[in-house]
Amino acid sequence: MFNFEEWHHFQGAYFTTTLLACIGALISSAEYLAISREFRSDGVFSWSVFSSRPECVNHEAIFRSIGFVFGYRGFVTLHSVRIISCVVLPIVLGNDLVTIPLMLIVIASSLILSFRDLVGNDGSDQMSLVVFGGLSIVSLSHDPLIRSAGLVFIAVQSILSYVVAGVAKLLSPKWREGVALAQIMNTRTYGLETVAHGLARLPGAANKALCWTVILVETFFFLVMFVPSPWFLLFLFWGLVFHAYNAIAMGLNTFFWSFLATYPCIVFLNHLVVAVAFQGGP
Amino acid sequence: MRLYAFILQPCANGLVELGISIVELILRVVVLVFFALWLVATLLKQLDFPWARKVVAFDVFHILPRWTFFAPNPGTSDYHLVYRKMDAQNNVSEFLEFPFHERNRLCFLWNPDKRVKKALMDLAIMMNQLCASDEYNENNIGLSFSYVAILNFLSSVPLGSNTRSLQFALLVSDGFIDLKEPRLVICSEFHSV
Repeated sequence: MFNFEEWHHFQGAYFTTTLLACIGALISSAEYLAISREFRSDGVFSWSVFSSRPECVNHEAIFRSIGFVFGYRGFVTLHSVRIISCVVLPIVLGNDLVTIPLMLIVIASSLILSFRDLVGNDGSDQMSLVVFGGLSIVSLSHDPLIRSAGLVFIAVQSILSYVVAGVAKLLSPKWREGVALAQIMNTRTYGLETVAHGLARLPGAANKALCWTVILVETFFFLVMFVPSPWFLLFLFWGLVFHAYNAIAMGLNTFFWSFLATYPCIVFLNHLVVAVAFQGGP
Repeated sequence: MRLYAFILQPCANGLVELGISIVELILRVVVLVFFALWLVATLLKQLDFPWARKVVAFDVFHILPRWTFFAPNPGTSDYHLVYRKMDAQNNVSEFLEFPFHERNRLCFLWNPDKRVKKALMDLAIMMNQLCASDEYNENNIGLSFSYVAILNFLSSVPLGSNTRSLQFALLVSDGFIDLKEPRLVICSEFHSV
């Protein structure tokens, strides 16, 4: 489906990142619309309750005048516009007259929703916001340096996410001792009963090996920038399998799309770094 | 004149050599500084130092992610939200559990319910933290955001026309292989509905 060498160049990486990020945002918004009932005044995402936070109470006049954006109708409109934008964006990418407004709609709606929802957001929403933040700035300029900087920013945020997660696990006794994975998979919230029983039957050393695999790959994920092709693709393949497993076993479906959207940018960055470091220029 | 001769003129010559205008140069600097600041602030958020918390407190749009997934203290417990109803004759029902652990087989493609479950779990975690803190007690916990949000959510659950009031409780358990009895986090008073 994808030609990795296309991602060595701006246009290829920009298009694929936009496409994957749009698929993720589209699924996310469609899922929100499917539970739109929860955004009414008696739902778990009720703006009447969310607006009781200090920053809204302290600026009551402002929030009363723009409250329609955060209420039920505003929510439905916002997600509907977001879905349309995500369908159209990959088709019109390159046509500035259409691309720039659509990118700005997606990033503005991401910011509004991120502010609105005090609970319920997850890491996939955060990565999606980062990706569209980078892409929006890229779409505003034709300067090759700014365009490359946007893709590099997305790649570095993605690499940082893995490294931070790895170091945090390295600092955790539960992860180092090899019990974390089995305990997480044992929860009804994120686990699966068959996997939980399977891990419980495994010897302690095998559980430890699984935990340390996650710790080591995440902690050393920054190497994806420097390792020459095709070896750096091993990190991305591991990431693909990792996010696919999380989607299937844990139900974290939108993580798959928002993190995968950063991979073309990582390929772009790797090509840039390897070219500068080993060949003296891109 | 000196400023022009010694600083601006060489800069302008440099820009001509680079093939960009002063406006393009300013734009480049602004964008690069913006991306650099976003990255540095993201890094600060991960470190979670007290002074860094003050810096990132302005992030009302949550553009600064926290990337410490399932670490250093992974969530290894399940929360359970249960509620019971009291009718006009003061008859109290059995506790019913709101199902927020069920997943369908296609959840890897389409999983809208995860949003509701994640919101309820975030509220349950907030409530658990409040109950463990000295700041809240049984007199003021009912005024907390998480308590009000859970009560508001339960008011939308079909309760039957005869229901006059509602009580909820939050429990925490270990998961599929449950080694300990579920523990009570909080049990609310009966609230009129």
